[in-house]
Amino acid sequence: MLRFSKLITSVFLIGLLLSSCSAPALDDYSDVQFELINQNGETVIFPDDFAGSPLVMGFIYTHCPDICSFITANVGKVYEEISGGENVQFALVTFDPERDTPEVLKTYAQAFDMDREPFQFLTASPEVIDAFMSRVSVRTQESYSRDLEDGERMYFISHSDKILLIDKNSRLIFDYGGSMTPVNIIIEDLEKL
Amino acid sequence: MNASFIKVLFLAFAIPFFFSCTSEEEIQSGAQLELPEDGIEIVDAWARPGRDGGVSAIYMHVLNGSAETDTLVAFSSPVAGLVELHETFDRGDGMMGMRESEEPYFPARSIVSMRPGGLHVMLMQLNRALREGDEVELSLTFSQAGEFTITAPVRSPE
Repeated sequence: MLRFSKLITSVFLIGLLLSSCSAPALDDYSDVQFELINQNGETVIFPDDFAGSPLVMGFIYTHCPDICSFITANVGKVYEEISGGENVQFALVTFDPERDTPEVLKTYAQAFDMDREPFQFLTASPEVIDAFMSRVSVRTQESYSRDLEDGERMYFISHSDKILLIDKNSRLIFDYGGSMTPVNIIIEDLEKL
Repeated sequence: MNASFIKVLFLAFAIPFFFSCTSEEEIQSGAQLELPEDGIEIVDAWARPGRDGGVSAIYMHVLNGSAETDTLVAFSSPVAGLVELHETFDRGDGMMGMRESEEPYFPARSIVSMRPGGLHVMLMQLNRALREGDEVELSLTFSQAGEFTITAPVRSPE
């Protein structure tokens, strides 16, 4: 009986150890469908078009001078630094669809030398983006605006600082602070998938 | 079940858990900077990439070696229609925000570091794309120290 109880305890503790180090899904996006457009004007369906391999996804707007550039760069660095990452997909989705058209996203991607495979910069209609951001728990709020001399309205957006790691089955596995998360952490997590 | 067996199991459980499931916080150490004997020096300026018509940010260290607080009163750059001093801030509700800095002050005998995620000179209405390897000129006018023109290399955020 003593030996049996040791066995049970061992199994329990090992199971606890494994479960604490592996990553249970935080969410499952396989039941939704969003029609997005990439920087080349091509339609991309989330999550269907990404199913089959892991996806690193960040959230930005191109008029963001500080945080979003680091989210963008972090997504780029994960690709540059991961070994054997040819099956990993990378996407950055804007939450400012009014200004971030596919053409604007393309020039933004070019500035970061990311207008190339495997990077996709995605936008959609404001209604679709609102629903999409709500589904992936990215919060936004216009925070600062004023009218410029040329009549243009300048505004900035407070927003969640996020990069998501989604597995090949469209399940959310990790939710990182986007701009400040060390890239090696994301790579380690990707390698566990 | 004897006590030593439980201890071994506990250690076998706790040690890997602690080391494999906690992430080590990165500590960013700043460069060793020395205040000038007097006046203002600006060092390590760099700009992040930006698209034509878009925005960029310039980061730097401002070293005020004088005995008086100085104030930044004007900026300009040939690549931007509008230049302002902004700061990114954590709203405390899981969101990051940005606002124009209302305190462009540089205290006496102090270093003010403009870093990603904090204070930065914001370039708006860029009249050309800024790509890695480019250089950006920026003029800053202080109330005491006068005008400085610096050149910031464009590079991707590290």
